[in-house]
Amino acid sequence: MTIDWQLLWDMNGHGPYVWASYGMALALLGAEALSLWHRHRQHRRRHSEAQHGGTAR
Amino acid sequence: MTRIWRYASPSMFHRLAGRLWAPFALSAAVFALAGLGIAFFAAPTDAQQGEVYRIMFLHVPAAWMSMLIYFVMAAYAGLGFIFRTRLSHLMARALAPTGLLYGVIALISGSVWGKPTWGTWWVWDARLTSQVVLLCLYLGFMALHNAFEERERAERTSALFAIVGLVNLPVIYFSVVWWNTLHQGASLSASGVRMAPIMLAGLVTMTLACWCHAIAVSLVRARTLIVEMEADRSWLHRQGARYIAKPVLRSVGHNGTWDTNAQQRDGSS
Repeated sequence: MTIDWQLLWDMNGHGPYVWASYGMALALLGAEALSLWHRHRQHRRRHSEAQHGGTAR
Repeated sequence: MTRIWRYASPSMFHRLAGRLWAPFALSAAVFALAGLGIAFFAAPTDAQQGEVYRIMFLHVPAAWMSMLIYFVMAAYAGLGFIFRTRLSHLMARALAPTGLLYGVIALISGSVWGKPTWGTWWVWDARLTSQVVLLCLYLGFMALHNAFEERERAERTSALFAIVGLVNLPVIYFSVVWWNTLHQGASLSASGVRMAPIMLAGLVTMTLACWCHAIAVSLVRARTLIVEMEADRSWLHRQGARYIAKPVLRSVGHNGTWDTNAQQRDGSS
């Protein structure tokens, strides 16, 4: 089975609607994951600073 | 049965969520890949709408999730309101942003789907309007949580708000039956399925991906909220010492000293 990538991208003229929808969803879900990861990293960085800065007991 | 109730404790749930979120995230990725494979390579072109119907594999699961998450969120809020359980309120808070996100995805993808099929980006019909009301309910719930200084008051007020907002769910679901709307009727209902089996398979697989994603993200957010809310608890210092620094605990209100007596009382090693 071969895939016609041009046909898949074009979607008979509906490509912009379909890919814009999926792209928007991916961007929003990615932003949510990034924000959670950033929060987790902040906790880790503060922990690391506390250890190296000698503030942790 | 009593083993399950152990996880109503924030300390136990924090540990459990830490173990569970990664398998759920992995499952979400696997289901999403399979679902997208079916959606774009296996499912045939729709006879009426052509290729643009493939937005359905994103739009419908997102819309379902926005309603399901609201129901679960309100159920948690209700449990917290009745039994005054901290974890229930916390789970409701953890679910709200993800439910809002799915609601936004459903609305935007629906709008983009509407342009080539209805000829317009937006109409104020019953289904779309009730979905906008759902987004407002999510925003209201989140805003109420941050509107009060006193935590318990914020939790109880937002819980009440979430419970009252449940009224909107049947309105969204039955809007296409009760009113004459531009939005199409349900493709899946008690009367049967009005789509090809391969399309249904893609829809179900994408829905499973969304479920797993929502669970994984909510568990991670719940862990973060537990760290912020349980800052003065001794279990957090024992369990969280691996990655939660004392400055973090101080920043959320803890004085930074270790309560060794409490550790012994709690039976820690």
